[in-house]
Amino acid sequence: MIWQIDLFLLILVVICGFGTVATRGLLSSTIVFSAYSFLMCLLYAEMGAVDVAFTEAVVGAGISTIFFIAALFRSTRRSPLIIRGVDDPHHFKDQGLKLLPLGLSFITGALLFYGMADFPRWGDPGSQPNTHVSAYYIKNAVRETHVPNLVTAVLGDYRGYDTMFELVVIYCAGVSVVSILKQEGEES
Amino acid sequence: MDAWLFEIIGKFNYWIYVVLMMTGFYAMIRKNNLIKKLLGMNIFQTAIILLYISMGSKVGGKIPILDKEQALAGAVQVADVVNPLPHVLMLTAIVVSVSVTGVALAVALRIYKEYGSIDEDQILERIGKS
Repeated sequence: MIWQIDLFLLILVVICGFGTVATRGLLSSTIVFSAYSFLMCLLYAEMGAVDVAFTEAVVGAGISTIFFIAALFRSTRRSPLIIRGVDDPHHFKDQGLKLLPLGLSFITGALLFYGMADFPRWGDPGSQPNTHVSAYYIKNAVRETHVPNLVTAVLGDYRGYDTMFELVVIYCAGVSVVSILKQEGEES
Repeated sequence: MDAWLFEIIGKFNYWIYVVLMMTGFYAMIRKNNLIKKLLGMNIFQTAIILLYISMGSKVGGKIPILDKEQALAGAVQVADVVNPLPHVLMLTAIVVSVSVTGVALAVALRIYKEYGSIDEDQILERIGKS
């Protein structure tokens, strides 16, 4: 945990996050999002969460980007913002509503900032989340499961059912994707 | 000056978490394009993952893969190892998030096939017409 790298990566992450939302073309937006995911994965690795970093690199940056590009390939790449001109009837209607989401985001963000005073200091070994239950796992997990990787030990042993039913979630997602896209094939 | 920097380092991760989460939130409610909304949703989810990982980190903490002999001998100090529990929770969250993204993209494709557009206004217009 080196705070200089952390600060640098966090600033890059914010730039990429804003870029994802602000970019007009959908394909370029997706690519910026992929860069965002990889930066996020570096950030996790830097904070010692190697397993999360692997998963984020493979699933978040890899598979999600492929899904988005595949969906864009099958639909349309043009963001309607480019198509929409001044003569569009929605162009003026949107102006009044533009400030509402911005204000809502700012108010919610301000409330979260207000609540942040109770958060533990970043990297404090004696903070609430780091002291109660996790000490047991760090001390006893290797003795009880004989797995040197603590994350794997908790994921595959202590929370084995949770991981098993996670597969059910993926299975359900796969079944729903197939059935949603299948219907369309039968009709045409 | 040092106290000021100390304060910033202690909270900077959480500030960025709020900024990213609100970026995603803004994209979800403001953007008209369905794909843009989904990108916003993904940003929202990664921001929450960032919050959890930040809470589990420790100053000078090593990665949660232990030396087996040392661990069996009981010689591991709790403060030396990063908290593994948020990592486990977030692994589950990443998998669920990619499932949600997949299903949502399938629904978006179905909407595109039905109405020929992934823009909210155009879809509403076409629903109103038919």
